[in-house]
Amino acid sequence: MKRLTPVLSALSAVALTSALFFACLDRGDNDAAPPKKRVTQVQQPEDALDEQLMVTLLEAKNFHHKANVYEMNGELDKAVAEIRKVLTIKFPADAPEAAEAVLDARARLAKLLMKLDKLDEAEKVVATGIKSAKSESFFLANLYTVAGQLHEARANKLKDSTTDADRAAFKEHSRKAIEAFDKSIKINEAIQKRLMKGMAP
Amino acid sequence: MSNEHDNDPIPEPDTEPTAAEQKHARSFADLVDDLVDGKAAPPAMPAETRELLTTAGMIHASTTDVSLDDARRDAIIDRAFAQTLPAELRSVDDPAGDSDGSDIPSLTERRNRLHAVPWVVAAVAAAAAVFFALNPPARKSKTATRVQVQYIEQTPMSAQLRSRPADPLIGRIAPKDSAAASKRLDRIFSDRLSGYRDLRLRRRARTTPGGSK
Repeated sequence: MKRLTPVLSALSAVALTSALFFACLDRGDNDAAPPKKRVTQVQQPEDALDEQLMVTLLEAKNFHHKANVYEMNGELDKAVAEIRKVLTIKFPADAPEAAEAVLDARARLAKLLMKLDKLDEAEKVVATGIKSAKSESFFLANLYTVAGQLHEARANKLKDSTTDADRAAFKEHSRKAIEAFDKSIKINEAIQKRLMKGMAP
Repeated sequence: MSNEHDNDPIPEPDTEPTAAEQKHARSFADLVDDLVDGKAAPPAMPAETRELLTTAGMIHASTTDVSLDDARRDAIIDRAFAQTLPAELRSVDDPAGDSDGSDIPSLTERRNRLHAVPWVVAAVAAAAAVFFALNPPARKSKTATRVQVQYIEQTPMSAQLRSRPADPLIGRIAPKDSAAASKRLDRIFSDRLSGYRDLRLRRRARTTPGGSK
């Protein structure tokens, strides 16, 4: 046993040194999710334009341009498919531009579906966008405008019908169209007023 | 001190020893030899002979380098410890401490236990090394640190360099343009790209020799 004592001492020293080394080792855990931003939060360094935002905006831009080409050629289904891809992009969670790009993509998608006479589908796309909006913007107002246009289109289809059910549906869609346009106007005015206030000397 | 030789007259120096004296001397010499060899003395013997034997042992011990073997040395030390230990440390079976200390771990046993200590230390340290190798302590993100430095350098950060709502850039959207998302996104991207390039160029200027800093 006495002969093993130096060996044991060396082993202990090596093990202790290894423990200290690994304990102090910097692995730079960068995978932690950023904390959620609050409404009252002041300007933070994370607000800086970053690569992820630029890459995702560029990706969305390219899908829109592909849709432009398909639309120009009358291939509306393919255009719809391209705009749907914009909705699958993983935009940075706290970038306002990203949220606005998604709202705008929904507006365009709904308009394309209206052209394809897929009004129910278009209504779902718009309703989901309005529900998911976290703040008011010109883009949300635009989505309300599209919602109004959608109800206007539905009402327009029913305007010459003489059945009671259709007359009732006509009235309902007309009412909803007016509500949506009103909401759009209110949001636009509020944003405009806010911007004017900000620009005042 | 009385024995069979007490009443014998003191023999003259030149007188030849008798057969009885020679026999007695031989038997005592055997006892001394046994003592020197470490053998135990017979349990029964005349008191005078025992005293002589004890005296012989003392003379032998004082004139020679006598050492105890390990087992005997440990036994003696254990016995000494057993007598000096406080009562509460003695065996629970022997609260009065009447035993000879055999219930108390012997020095050899305790030493054997101590031999395990370096192994335990090495094992614990090795386990700690493996644990920290597999579960490194989390540290603050390097990216966050870099951005923090950048933030301090540029405070306050101009609006052009920040992610922000595009309302001021796009303005009110006319109903006839409600589906013109592609044009609006082109405009937003172009504006943000300008700010992003500005940020990149500033960063490069700081890190390139001859740059602004």
